[in-house]
Amino acid sequence: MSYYESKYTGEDIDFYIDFIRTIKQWVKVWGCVEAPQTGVNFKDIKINPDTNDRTGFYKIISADDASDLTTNDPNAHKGGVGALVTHLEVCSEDNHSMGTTSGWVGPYDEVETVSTDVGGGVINVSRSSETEPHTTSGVVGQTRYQDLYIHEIWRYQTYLKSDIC
Amino acid sequence: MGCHYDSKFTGKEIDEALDFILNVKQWVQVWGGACGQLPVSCGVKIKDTKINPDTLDWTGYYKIITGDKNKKLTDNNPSHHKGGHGTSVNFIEVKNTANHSMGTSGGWISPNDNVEISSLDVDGLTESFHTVISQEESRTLPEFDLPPRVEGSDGVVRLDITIHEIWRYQSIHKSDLC
Repeated sequence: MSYYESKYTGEDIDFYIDFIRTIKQWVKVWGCVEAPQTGVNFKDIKINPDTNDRTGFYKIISADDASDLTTNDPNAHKGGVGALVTHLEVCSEDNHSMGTTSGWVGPYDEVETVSTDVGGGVINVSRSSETEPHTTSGVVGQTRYQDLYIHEIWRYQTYLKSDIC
Repeated sequence: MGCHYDSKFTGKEIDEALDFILNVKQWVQVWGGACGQLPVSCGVKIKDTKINPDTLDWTGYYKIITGDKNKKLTDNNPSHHKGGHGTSVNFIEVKNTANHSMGTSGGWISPNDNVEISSLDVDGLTESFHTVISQEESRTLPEFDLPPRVEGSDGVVRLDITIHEIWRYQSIHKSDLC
């Protein structure tokens, strides 16, 4: 056995190991075994070990359809947004918390948007435009809405305290 | 004296691992909320946040939480965040504090079927986080309860959105945070 004279004391090492347990990273919390679907029940996601409820910072991977995101088929996910990453900050489980929105000019020279939110206990990613999009799941006024398929949900949290999904 | 443990790592490797840990980055709140500042709708000066310990200036990658000025982010009333932008998460990469650095932009349909676009930037003159929504000139103005809009010299109507919290992606060991 050889000895190495560390520049860190034993107390330093304890301190840093405590610190390691507080480091947060992106952890997949939905979509590990579940098939893509439009709308994910918030309660189907494991409790956030850092907040002891489901509030937190989420990353949502969604697409126009349920096709495999890793597909090499160039015709997959066409005609709309393709695969999309949006973010959602949930400050209250009951709140209509909004996430990032994305806007672009669609095929009919209309502005289309994608918004992410949790309303009524369901995480939803929806696309809207003022002209008829491809498949509509609801119509309100002159605005057409299309629910996108949610493929994966990730949460920014500590890793050691959680059994993940 | 405690028991000896024959680690698979050498002492040198453990020192190197601890050196690495010092540089691990996470999201750190640097303004608003837990830092004590109240929401504002007139922009936040970037120099009101602590210096970034990784860059030794205010450049870095920021997450901005915006929403209605008088509504708490934890408000449980769903109607309080309807009729407009609601709470939003935005990102901005500040390469130079004197630069007109651009961040995420987004669009949504307002209650009057108007399309509104928001953008996030750092204004070079005031070095503040300045969030605006702008509207296409051909659209009519929405009439829901928001502060008056200002029409700029370019003819685009803009409104500052209230900033609640600012987070920066940085190491935390070198900093005393906010």
